Amino acid sequence: MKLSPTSNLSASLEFLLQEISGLRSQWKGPRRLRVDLQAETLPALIELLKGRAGFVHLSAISCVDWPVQNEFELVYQLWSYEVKVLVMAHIRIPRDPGIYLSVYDLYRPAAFFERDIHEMFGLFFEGSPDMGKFILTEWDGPPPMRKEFDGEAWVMNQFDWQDYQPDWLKDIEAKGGGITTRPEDVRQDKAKPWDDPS
Amino acid sequence: MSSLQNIPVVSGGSEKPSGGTGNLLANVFDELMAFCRSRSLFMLHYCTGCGAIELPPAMTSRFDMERLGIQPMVTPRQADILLVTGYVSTKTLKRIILTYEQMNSPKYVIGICSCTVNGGMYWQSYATAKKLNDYLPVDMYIAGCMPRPEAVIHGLRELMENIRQGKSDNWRDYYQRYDHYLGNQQRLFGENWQTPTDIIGEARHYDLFGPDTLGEHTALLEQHQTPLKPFEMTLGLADLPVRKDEPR
Amino acid sequence: MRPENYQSVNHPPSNEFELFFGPNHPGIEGNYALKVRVNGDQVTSARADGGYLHRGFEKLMEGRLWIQNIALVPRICVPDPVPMEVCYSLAIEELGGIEVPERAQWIRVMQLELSRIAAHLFTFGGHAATTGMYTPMFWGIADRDLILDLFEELSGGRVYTSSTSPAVCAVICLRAIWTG
Repeated sequence: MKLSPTSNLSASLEFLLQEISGLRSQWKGPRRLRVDLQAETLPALIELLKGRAGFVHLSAISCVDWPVQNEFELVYQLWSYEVKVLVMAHIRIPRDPGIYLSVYDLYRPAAFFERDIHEMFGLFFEGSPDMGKFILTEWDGPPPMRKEFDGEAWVMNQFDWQDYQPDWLKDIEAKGGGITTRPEDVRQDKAKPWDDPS
Repeated sequence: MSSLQNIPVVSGGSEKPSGGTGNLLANVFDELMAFCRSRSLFMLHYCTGCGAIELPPAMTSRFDMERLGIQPMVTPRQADILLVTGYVSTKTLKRIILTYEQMNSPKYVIGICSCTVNGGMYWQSYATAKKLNDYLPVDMYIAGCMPRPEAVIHGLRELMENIRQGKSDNWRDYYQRYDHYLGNQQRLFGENWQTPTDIIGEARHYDLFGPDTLGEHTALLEQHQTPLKPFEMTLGLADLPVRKDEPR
Repeated sequence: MRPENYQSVNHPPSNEFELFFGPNHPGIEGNYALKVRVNGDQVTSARADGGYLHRGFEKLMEGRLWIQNIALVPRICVPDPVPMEVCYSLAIEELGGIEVPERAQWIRVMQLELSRIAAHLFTFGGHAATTGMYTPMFWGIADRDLILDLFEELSGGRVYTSSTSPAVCAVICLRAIWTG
């Protein structure tokens, strides 16, 4: 059954979402609904969607780091098997304490995603059963997915590279030539995409 | 597919018994052993990463590896070759070093895929190790992303040829320059890295003690080394749900 | 041993023990560890231990151009690389507003299905090998090689074709038109 933004089912979904204050919704595609809301009202939205609208599947919780606005953006992606719509709930939490509550009591798979986000971003979820490391068990640096962590600089500091003296290069150097710019001396000029103040 | 010949291997204790007197039959038994060893290698495929996909095609009936005498073996205690197929993350590198030290000499390490050579595709990654022969003595690299099974077999045949000629004995290098390898391992894992195998004691016992076996890094190892205790197997699963038909 | 010295000790049942399924298995192509507690042949509880294949893809992809990521994306899932490429291409097409011609969509679907069948044959062989039946493993991987020959004809690489991208779909169309 094709769901378009004008069908009955979407109208009833939006009617349901009116119960949450401070919510803006936008249809991104026939089956994708983007919802922006405040961090305090997210548990209410999740209880509403799970209990009354049948969104029983938590697909993912992802995290985006906005260093300029000093915020983390969490995206909760909920899928309903009956109406086959993915609701993506975006919230922003301040970066400074970096603590948010967990939705483990509503969705059990959330424990996995929250553990992963805690390891990668350093964001703590209260109420999640286990916040221990499981991927980065041998890592003792800063949370690596934060934008201020420069992975390439860390790698150049920590590791050495093979020395490679092939014959063709020696021939060129014997004639007076050589390498002008080595790849590891040229850092890729990333044009800082996260400075976008939107 | 080139072997690293610039690893300095100090050959100590492997002088030929002929001693220059021209006794042609003095090395017959050594050469026979090298020939037989090269024709019957057991590989422990530690499928670390991407290259593990092109290994079963090389082992099975299309590009058969068993006709060269190379069989897969599940335990490191009975294997000759450690195949490191693909990138090695830091977590895996610890296990590989433990596995390598459990193997019996003579043992050979083959690094497959470009990620073991110089970082490969993931050279900017904080989680993978870049140069495998910083941590383990590698005998043969097979480059590619991924190398075709024919390339893998070609590399293995070159390794067999090297073994037959007696040229690849980098396992001695691990004992003779243990300080260098341990230094690199400690740089990556921290200062309290230790393995259950007593490499220095083994080096003394097998007469492979070189000038670089002890050094500053082994001194650090001695400081942090704790004696082996029997492994206390407690899962700590008291809070996890137990199956419903469990008697308790 | 005298009867009055005998003390009965309460041992746990002797067929219950803990096993450590380490990261390397002969039957799988990836590393994944499990600590299981078994009672005879039944598993009563387990704890998973992953992260051996972590490469930091999200961090790597942040630092590269979109066209450099096309080489990186299939390596997320090693046995079945094509769905990752298609997802990435769909994301870029949605961002850029590019429309994919219908022929390219059909070719993508064929690639996806072939890759899925190849991955299933590989798993089928792997499961059989772990339980000791080696014949299905040989058959499965040999049949998968025929699919990899098709991929090699498409782009030159047996496993990672990297041939699904917003730019290349047009090239595939052209090539298909040329070769009929």
